[in-house]
Amino acid sequence: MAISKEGSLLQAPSDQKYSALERATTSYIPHETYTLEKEKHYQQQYSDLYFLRLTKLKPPVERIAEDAWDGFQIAGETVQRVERVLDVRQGNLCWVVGTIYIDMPLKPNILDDISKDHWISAPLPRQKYLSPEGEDLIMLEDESGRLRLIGAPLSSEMLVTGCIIAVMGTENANGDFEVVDIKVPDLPPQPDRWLTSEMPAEKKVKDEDDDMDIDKPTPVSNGKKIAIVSGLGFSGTNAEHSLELNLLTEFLLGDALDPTSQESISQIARLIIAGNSIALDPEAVSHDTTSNARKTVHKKYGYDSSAYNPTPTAHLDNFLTGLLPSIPVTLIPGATDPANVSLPQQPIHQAMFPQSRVYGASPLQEGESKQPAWFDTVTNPWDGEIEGWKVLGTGGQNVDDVFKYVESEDRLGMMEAMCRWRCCAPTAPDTLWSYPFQDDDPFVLNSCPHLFFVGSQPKFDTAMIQGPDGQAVRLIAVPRFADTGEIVLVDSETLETSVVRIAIS
Amino acid sequence: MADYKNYLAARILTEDKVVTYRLLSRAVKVHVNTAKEMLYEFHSQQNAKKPGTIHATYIVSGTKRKEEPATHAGVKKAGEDEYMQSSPFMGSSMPQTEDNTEECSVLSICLTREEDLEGLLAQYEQVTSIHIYSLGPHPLKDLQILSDVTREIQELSANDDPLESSAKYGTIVNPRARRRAVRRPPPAAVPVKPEPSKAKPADPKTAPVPKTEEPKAQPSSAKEFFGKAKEKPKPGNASSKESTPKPPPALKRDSSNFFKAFAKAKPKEGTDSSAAASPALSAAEDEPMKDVSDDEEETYVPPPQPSKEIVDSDRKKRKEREEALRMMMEDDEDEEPVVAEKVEAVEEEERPKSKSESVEAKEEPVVAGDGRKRGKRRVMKKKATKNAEGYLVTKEELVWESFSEDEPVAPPKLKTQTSATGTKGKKPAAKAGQGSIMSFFGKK
Repeated sequence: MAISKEGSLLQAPSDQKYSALERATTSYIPHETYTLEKEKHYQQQYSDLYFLRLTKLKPPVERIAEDAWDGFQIAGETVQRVERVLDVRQGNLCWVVGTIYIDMPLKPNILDDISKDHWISAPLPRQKYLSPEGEDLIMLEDESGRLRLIGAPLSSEMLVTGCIIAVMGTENANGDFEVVDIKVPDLPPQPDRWLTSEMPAEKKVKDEDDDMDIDKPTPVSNGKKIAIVSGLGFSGTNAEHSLELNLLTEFLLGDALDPTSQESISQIARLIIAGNSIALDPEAVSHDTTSNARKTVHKKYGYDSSAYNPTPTAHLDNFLTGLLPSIPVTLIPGATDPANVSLPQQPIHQAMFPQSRVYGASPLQEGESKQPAWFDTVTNPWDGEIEGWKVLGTGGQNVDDVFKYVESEDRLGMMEAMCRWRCCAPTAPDTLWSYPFQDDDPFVLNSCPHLFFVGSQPKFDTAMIQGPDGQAVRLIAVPRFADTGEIVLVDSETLETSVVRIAIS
Repeated sequence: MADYKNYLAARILTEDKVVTYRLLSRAVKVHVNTAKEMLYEFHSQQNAKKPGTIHATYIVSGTKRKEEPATHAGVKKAGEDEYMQSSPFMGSSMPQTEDNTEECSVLSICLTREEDLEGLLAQYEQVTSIHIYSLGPHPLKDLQILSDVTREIQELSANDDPLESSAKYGTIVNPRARRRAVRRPPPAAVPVKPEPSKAKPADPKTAPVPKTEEPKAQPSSAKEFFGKAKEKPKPGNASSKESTPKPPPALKRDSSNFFKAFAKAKPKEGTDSSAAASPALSAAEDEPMKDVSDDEEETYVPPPQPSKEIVDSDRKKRKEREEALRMMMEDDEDEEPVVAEKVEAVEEEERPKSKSESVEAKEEPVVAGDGRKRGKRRVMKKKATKNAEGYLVTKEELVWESFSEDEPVAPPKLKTQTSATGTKGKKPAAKAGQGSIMSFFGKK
């Protein structure tokens, strides 16, 4: 291949004036669905969460089940609807709505934590909770009781603890419920684009014209993109991919590559960092367990402040400070980030970013309307609106936890299932730590997002799913940058995705 | 235009260092694209003169040829117990997976050595751009070394305002970038030791002295400190010996010590600024005097400097004035006041030298101006330990627990309380002398 070519930078410096590029913008409205009250209480029971979820999701499931099974007959017997799980009578063909609970012998148990003290070494955490011998019991429960489910449909439908479904079948002589069919709440209603946010004026005019001709104009890409990256993995001990991170900065800033590429890069209007910006430091973890015995005196709340290593956050801070003058950033915390562990994770505190926090949210002055911060540290999960699209994103814990329940390796399938269950973290609070909500279960999706992305996944994957009422959701599994060097670009008009892979050879 | 050659020659050939296009663009203040071309020019010229003197790395972008799926297999976790896949999970609603990775366009950006460039280009189906990334005197064994150059760039551009300088270098500009009003120099250059411009007079007898630890400047704390101080310190004040610049990732410990030191001195500073007319410099801090100030570290200490005759006459009046001034100062502080008081209290507890736990009210939540709540409370904690015989022994202990995870905003009104309580336990006697040490001098 010829190295020198037209417009190449492999030439002597020309006097060509490179024009300054200006970055594109998109409308951006973060929501605070998952922001917790400043005053958090942890005394309450988690049962409320299950109760709330069931009350919220029962009506839609019932509607779907009724539509599907009304007048359904098997061997001359018509299906009856049963209000509560305990009202199921043996031999009657019926359907009932409830919460799935999967009893898994391999699931972490609080009692294991206690018995850990008596062991020399604790068993390694498992990749999956699924028992290879098939000892797992799937049950359906509501506030009245529990019913064990058996039958073929269970193996074909993805089920995890905490999802709300309707089952149709009959109770057999053993007291088990033989499932004939399963219905899930399916995708919630999806608001139209730009429904709740203000559309830029010039666009409105144009779109109205379009509406005259066709009902739903197929969006045409205007080149604007949103970049999503996950698992940056800044580490205090491991600098293996620091050059990739530098190249990422240079790419996003438009320093690298040639003028044509730079121009397209300038269309990247926002960077979303979806979790795990800080790598888990294996040394720190092992250190923590071994040092338990010695010098407990200096520890406060079980934390040894002398072991604190500030370099990962300092690197992240540097990274952000480099990018922020040019591109706005939304930072979603992940499992290994310095935020609280339980979902919803609250925004990483700005004090972690001594340099970049000047771009952060400033306290509201009186009479000032709130506008999103340039450097927006947000919750995990996070929802918001970008260019009118409803966006939901998480740091990845929700999918990783569902992954442990099911046989499948198909991360997108899990994401789709979550949308169809209308719950973005079904396994909370069972195996996914969560705040004990009392008044509302925010993990239940009241409306369908247009874009649902999940960070820290092993590989990039994307799909478009459709709902019964014409809903369409773009699912994106965002790979870990530290492992793959990949970032995802989403077109802000068509929601089509492309990947940028940064590698060093 | 020629000075870039001098720069490159000096740096690569003489200093034996690596230059990236970004470093060059910052150093000679040209557009990055011009810098890339300069590197190319220099590279070809030098190697034409004497082949092999300069080694380049290239960055190539474009679409690669379809890869064998080996990359995906590599991602899968090896080792761990893999579960048998009985059958593919076909839900009732399988996503219409659009054979993603194939359809999805992938832009591959690859950095490579000059020596490997040919091989890399062969992997590409289409190359959209290629340019020199760096030049160095030797072939780079480990390309990661290049990331060190980034650090140099940061140092080089530390004094630039990124919002203004970026256009010059060709970085994509964003006029909508919003920043808070910066009340401090750019972060990379924050060696300034926070020194209130109206420092206390160097009266050795009464000069309040920070605690034994030398206060260490640390960027974040510096900023917060500025929030407290009435005026921004002038750079000239940064000359005291504590002003050793610390790198930004200074340890937490330092900052808290620093807080501690100043939290104690603060009320005095407040009063000083009103009472002391002469802005003497940091002499007082250079020679810590433990005796006086250590004892009387209470919130409100009358101005130390004013001589006795004045004190005699209008002590009361000044006190009022100071009080008012202090209030004013507290009102002044905005979104980033010092967490000092709290940190101090925490530290107090933690340090082995604090003998007794402070005695305090059960709880003191304080709602700051913007509704945030913070404070410390004492809670009964159960602690289970295993004793010699292997039995579990549960003990109940009183533990301090701070119950706020919010923005480190110390509510203004809290100031007197916390700093008082933080020290009370340690030196209960100080309380008595509090506020009356002046009268002690005065009355005589």
